[in-house]
Formats: sequence, C-alpha cells, structure tokens
Amino acid sequence: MKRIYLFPNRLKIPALVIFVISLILIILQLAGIEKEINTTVFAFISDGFALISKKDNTYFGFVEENIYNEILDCAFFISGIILAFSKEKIEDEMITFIRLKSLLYTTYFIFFLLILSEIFIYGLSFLNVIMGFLYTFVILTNIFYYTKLYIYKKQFSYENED
Amino acid sequence: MKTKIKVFRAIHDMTQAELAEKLGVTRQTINAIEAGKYAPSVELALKMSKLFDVTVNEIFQLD
Repeated sequence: MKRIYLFPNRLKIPALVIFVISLILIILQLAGIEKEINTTVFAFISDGFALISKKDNTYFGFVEENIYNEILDCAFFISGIILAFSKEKIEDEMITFIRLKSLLYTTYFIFFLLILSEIFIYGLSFLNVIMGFLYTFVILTNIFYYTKLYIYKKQFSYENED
Repeated sequence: MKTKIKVFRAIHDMTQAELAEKLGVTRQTINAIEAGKYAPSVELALKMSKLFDVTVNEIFQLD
C-alpha cells in the first residue's frame, strides 16, 4: 500500500516555535509594529497593485523591496504546514483519519467564508480578506487536528474492562 | 460493526497495549475499535486475524 509523505516527528517542536513566533510578529505587523528589511530581489512580477503607474512595473527583473513581510509569511506557512503534517510518535491509520477530518472541515469552513466574501465584499478589501483566509486555513487546520487528537487520546485512554 | 477482539485478547492473554504494539498502532486505536467507534482498515484487520490465527469474519461482524 502506498504511504503518504509526512514530515519527521522531530520537526514538530521547532515548527511549533517558529509558527507561534511568526504568528505573533504577523499580528504585531497588522497593529503597525514592523521592521524594514530592504534588499534587492528577483521578481517574476512587481507591479505595486494599481497604485503605481505601469512605468514602474517590473517583469522577471530585480527590484528593491522590503522583504520583512515575505520572510514572516514564508516562516508562518512553512512552519504551519510542517506542524500539521508531521508524524506523531506512533503514526497509525486512526491518526491519518483524524488528520483527514481536520483538513476536510477546515476546507469546508474556509470555502464557505470565501463564497460569503464573494457575495458581500468588493474592491481591494476582497484581496485582504483572501490573504486572511490563507492564514486562517493554516491556523484552523492545526487547531482542528490537535483538538481532535487530544479528544481521541482522552476518550480512548482507558482500557475497556467489562 | 461488532468485534470479538476482547475475547481473542483474553484467549491469548494480551492487553490492549500489547496487541497495539504487535500490530503497530496506538492503544487508543485498539480501544476505539473494541468500542465500535472506528472501523479498521483491511490491512489492520488481516494483521489481527493472522495474529489471533482466526479468520477476519470471526473477529468482525456486521450489525
């Protein structure tokens, strides 16, 4: 039977640490507290949304950018995915089933919100909301998974002695 | 689905933890199967039948 790829269990704790730190820094950034890390980077597309004239658009070239947000986002998404999809100490089919359920319910929830957003939110705010859904997807997958895992371990911890 | 895992465990003098270790699953999974809360995969059912030296139908029955 083909196995699905999961990250090694030893990455779980480092992923958790990076996930929490990056989440805190992202929240601080939303509150206006952020650093600037300006550097030259290679970009497939750099168009500054619609606020900058088309003369400043760059395609497959080098641009000067503040990459603090990009570093945070990469750290958040990578650590979040590793945290959700790393093996447990004993990885069995029940754990796989719990992982599938949490992914499924997160998908349902996020796409429900997406459809509501399509109907009720317009303009640039829609893009901000979509970005928010990306963060929410990673957070909810982890919340659902670890909550279900905790309930499962608590519920079936005691040996049946009839 | 009904199971007779507990009966066969008793025959072989095995705890849930020992059975779980032999099958490569967690003890909670064995507990969940015995409680009828989870249906095992074909692979796990076959491993169990081989371990207890009985057929799968003797271990698991449909309601």
